[in-house]
Amino acid sequence: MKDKISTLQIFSLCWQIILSSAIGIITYITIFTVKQDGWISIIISCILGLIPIILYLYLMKFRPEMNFMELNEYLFGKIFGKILNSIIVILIASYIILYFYDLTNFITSQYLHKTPNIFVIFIFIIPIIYLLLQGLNVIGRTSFILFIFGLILLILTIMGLIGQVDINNFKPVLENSFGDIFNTSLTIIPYTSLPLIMLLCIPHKNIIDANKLNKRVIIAYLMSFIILLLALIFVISVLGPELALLYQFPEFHVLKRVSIGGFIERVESTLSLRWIFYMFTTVVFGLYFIMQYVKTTFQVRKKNILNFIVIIISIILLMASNWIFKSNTQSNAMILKVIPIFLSVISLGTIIIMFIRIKTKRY
Amino acid sequence: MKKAKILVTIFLLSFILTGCWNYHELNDLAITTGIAIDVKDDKYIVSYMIANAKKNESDSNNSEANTVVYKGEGNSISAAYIDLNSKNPKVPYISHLEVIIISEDAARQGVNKMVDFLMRNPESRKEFYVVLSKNTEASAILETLSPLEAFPSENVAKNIVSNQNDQSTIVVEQYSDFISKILKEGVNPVLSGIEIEGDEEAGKSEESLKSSTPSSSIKIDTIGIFKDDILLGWANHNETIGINILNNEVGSVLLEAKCDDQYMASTLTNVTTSTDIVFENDIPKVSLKINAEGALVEINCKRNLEDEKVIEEIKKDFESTLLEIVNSSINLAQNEYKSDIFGYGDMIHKNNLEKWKTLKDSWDETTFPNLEFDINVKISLSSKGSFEQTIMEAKNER
Repeated sequence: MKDKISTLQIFSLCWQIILSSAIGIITYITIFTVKQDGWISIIISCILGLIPIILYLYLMKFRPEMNFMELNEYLFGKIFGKILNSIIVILIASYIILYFYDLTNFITSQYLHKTPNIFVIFIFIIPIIYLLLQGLNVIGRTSFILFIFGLILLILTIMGLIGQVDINNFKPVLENSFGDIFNTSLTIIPYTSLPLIMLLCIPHKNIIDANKLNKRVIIAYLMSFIILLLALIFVISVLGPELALLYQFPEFHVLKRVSIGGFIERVESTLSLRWIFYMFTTVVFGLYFIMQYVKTTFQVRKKNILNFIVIIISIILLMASNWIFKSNTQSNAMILKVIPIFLSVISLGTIIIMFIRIKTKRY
Repeated sequence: MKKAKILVTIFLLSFILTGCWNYHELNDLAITTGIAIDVKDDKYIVSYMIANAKKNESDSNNSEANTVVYKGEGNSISAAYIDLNSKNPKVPYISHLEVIIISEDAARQGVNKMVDFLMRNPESRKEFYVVLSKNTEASAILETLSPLEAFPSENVAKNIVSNQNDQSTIVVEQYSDFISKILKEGVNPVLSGIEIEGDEEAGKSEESLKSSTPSSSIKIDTIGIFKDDILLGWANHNETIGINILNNEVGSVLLEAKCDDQYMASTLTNVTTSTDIVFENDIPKVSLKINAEGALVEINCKRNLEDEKVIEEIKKDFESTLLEIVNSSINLAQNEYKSDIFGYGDMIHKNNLEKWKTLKDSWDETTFPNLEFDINVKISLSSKGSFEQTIMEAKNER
């Protein structure tokens, strides 16, 4: 039961993994590169991003009793499989470091601007490790609860901003060339659909109502993109592209304009909690993927040893977020140029190799 | 063992869940509701109006303001802020900032150099009013006490809101929107100007609040016209109304028209301006349709108001007055300042990108000043108030 998860919980995981990049990453990329035309990039990336999602779902079903690591060893043999798994773990570690840096940077730049990063990191390390040690079932349930809280905050946000939308801010349409818009959509995919590779660490047989998996993952994917689109629409239409470009987290600043019925105001800190939930869940699930890697690859059977290794890895990765990115100028440059290529090559490359291997039956 | 683990965890958590890092007690905060920026000898003088000052706490009554203004000087706004802070025992807290006042002299040098500090500061909410001081230092406005409001900053903020609804001689511009307009292509910002009427020095004293006639008061009746971030000059009362009408930013407007050798007045509500830009031989032409609902509020001449033809004539008089006002505003922007404060360039940019690319470089200097206008004003005079007739006409009939 400890390693079981329902499709509703997977739904909430997908939702949060995709939306964890909504603040500080997707909006930044779209506004910085194509300003008011960003909505077109998001729609294109939603369509293109479906391809890896379908591949992930296919791989999950291929050998229901195996997780991603076991499947790789089955397809490519022990040595090459382990190498491939290690490469993917580097990819997942990159996601964890990036998202955790984004989370702590958001908190220290917007809420607690005089608080040292390391203090915020320490506060998050405790619940993250606690959840990891509790197993998949608890992670799934926590994710679902946070998803519900996030949904309520999202509805309040929509209610508070819908009256302030100015469609004129989306004009002129197609001011940027289609090439730029398309490039932006390619830059978005590594932060939206590709991170869902984390789901592959759950063996298909551990999913309680597995027959609904495909449907729920696709719905979660599409709905998350609608929310991404809405976030961008609110940022551009309420703040305008010029102002949105100035802010470090325009998604947070647009929340300062929320007014519900003229009496619910100044609630941006509460409403922005949902991004913290999303990034927190993604980091926890990413570390769970690494935990499964350690367990499978190094055949660690003793629970205490596994827990100890996971705690050490978690602390190192979470602290590394503070060491790797010296400033958000550096992280922004990497988000735009380096990380998307790195993430795309590794995750898409691996998945395609696996798919070809299965189709050619060379295992 | 499990209990011990829980106890250790709770013990460890107690160290990190005590509250925020660097927290401040409310008593240690100087709640700042107004900021004024002046320039003197190439240095910025920044004034903070602290709303929770303790002076007169023991014997204060409702009319006395517990406010204090601190001033700091520096080469940058942040240096002036630090200088100001060294004189103030509390930590300025700007989340409740209501208004920022920039002096005319500072605005004429360009406001871009001043706006960064407050935009960058995470404590600042960026949703406060920004106004200019005219013919006076910005700090003097923050120091002018009002018998009707507890804080001068609140006095300015409430004046802005009431003026927008009743007189339309003000631009309700929030800080972030103002900066957005500076950054936009094809539109220049405008800001309301505040003047002090009366004895400026006496108005700073609490003694003036005890008199039934305040020694001085603030007046918001003009608009400052910018090109990019530089203040070029001012619009008068009528031009200000015209600018607001063209920018669709009016609540109600009181319109006066000549009536024999006297005046008649109408309150205009639901004033809307629809703008259309057409290109004739690649030359843009602006078509404006101004519609308003009028109510006759005063008429001091002899007119038979029960005659429909007379009503039609009165309506025409108001329409031509409104047309004059609008024309004077356009003339001011086109010829005197060459500044597109109506955002026609922005409209072309948004709706006709290809044309904008060809006009962009010459817009401010050549194209906008030579824009042709086709203005259509329509007022529906639907109410005459409680009287059917005019006093003059009634006396004549008797």
